[in-house]
Amino acid sequence: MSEIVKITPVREDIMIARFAALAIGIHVIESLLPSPIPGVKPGFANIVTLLVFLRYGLEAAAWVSILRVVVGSLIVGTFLSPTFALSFSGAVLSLFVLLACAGFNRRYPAHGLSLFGIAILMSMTHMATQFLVVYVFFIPHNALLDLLPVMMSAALIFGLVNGYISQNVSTRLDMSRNHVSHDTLMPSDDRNKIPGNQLK
Amino acid sequence: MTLTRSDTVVVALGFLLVSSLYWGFWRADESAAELVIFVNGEKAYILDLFEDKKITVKGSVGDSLIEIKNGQARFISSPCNTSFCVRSGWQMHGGDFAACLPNSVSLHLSGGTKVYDAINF
Repeated sequence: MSEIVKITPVREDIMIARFAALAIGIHVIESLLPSPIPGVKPGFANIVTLLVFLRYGLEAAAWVSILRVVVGSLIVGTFLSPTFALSFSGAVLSLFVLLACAGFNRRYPAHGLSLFGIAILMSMTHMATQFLVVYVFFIPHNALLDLLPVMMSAALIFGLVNGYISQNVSTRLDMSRNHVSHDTLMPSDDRNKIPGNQLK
Repeated sequence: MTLTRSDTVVVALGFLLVSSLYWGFWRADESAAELVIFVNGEKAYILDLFEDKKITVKGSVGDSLIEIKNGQARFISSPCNTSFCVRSGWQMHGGDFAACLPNSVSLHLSGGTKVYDAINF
């Protein structure tokens, strides 16, 4: 007789789900907007990731970002399609950049990056990754390289815009720190100590 | 909103990267290096475009006078009625092309980056 595994969501899970829902909403609305060049879009959903990072740490931000890409693609209907491959690889690589930024800020708290700088780094990483995946797997043609400057300009501009927005939102949410000097990545041992956080 | 020093560095590097991409991928094509002259459909001369000279090429009807100067080449005159070749003027980019069909003489510029694969008239 098989045992029924019941997972009770803890506060943190519900919080992540809510932020992910917000990010998915933005993601889906954005995918409906027409774009002059395929692959260029504002990426406002990353604002949610950045704010979650600032407030709840890297792990929560990673959850929100990955859930956003997977569920967003299920809703739009691009799951496991090339579009999905692009946004997934972009999201994963930019999360690694976020990890690096968190490390940098821990090490040099006095000169730490604010969400502004992090947003630019993440958006440019996302675009570069996307471009690399397209070039290597989907359209390995040199003519594609002519698009690279335009794509990266778009990434820079939207990075600046998103960074500005998230920095301002974070200030208004009274998280008025100039830079991210902490990283509340919670070790899994500590997570399990939270009552109700174990699998039952 | 205050930017930290690292933010400023990131913004500066971002602009630097994007502008270097434009420089790297969107720079104007290099000009041609060589002039190939075809007579009756066969390669008759291969000349350096940066050696100024005037050359007379014997075609199927008569002599075409061709000038090479500063990496450019043109027909000065040709024994044809239409003078399309003369009026097409200086050719300077890789892939550029001028021809005098009645005299079966044509100029092809090679080297640099080809801008066109082919041109239809």
